Amino acid sequence: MSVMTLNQTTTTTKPQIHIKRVYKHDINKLWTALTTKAALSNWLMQTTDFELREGQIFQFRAKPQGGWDGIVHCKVLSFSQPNSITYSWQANGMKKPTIVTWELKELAKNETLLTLSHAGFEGFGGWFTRQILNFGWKSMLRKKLTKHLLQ
Amino acid sequence: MRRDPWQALADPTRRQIIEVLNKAPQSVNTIAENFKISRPAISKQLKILEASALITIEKQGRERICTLALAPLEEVYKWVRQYELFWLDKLDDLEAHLKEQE
Repeated sequence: MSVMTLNQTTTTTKPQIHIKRVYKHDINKLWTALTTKAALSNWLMQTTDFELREGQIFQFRAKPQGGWDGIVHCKVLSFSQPNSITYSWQANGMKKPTIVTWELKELAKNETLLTLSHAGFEGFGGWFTRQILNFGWKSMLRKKLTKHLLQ
Repeated sequence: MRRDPWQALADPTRRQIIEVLNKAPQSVNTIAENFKISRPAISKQLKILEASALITIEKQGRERICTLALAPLEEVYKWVRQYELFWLDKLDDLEAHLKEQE
């Protein structure tokens, strides 16, 4: 199950990506997947310098594509084992780092709710997204997206 | 040569022009009235927006009317959408990863 919304928060009008998903796995197992170098390199992107330590600067690397050089510059901002980790996320083309937050909540034994937020889109991306939302394209594009996801 | 719409929108005045045109098409003169900068300066900014295909400028009688073109915005939306799809894909990869660990 997964729920996705492109939010326009009322207080800041800044858009953010917000995805919730339930995993039939133990919370500690998810925590390990989210916070160890080997696991992250396996499912997210290659990282050689990730450490679970506040202030740790690290990079994700992937194959460059479509104007993206394949590198994401990150810094661990905070974490609370085994419930949340927040790091900055800056790819080329982003004027300011964006913020990625992973949250875990144990619903039952071997049932964990994961919430992923990607926020802080400033300047370009943010301005653009706001414009798109203002144009009233939100519902139209969401329909398109839903259709795409169902394909 | 077509300019990069992202670059065209890096300038705050040009973004404000887009916001003005978001309400309705406007003549160059009417747009200029909204800004403190000179008419030639506004014309220059409009030319940049036109070269980026973000607006079209059409002559109607004595007036030149500027209209917002939406296609480039849609192009950029694809970028945002791809970012969301990236995460959705990665969450599937996470699921697969967790299964592998069993």
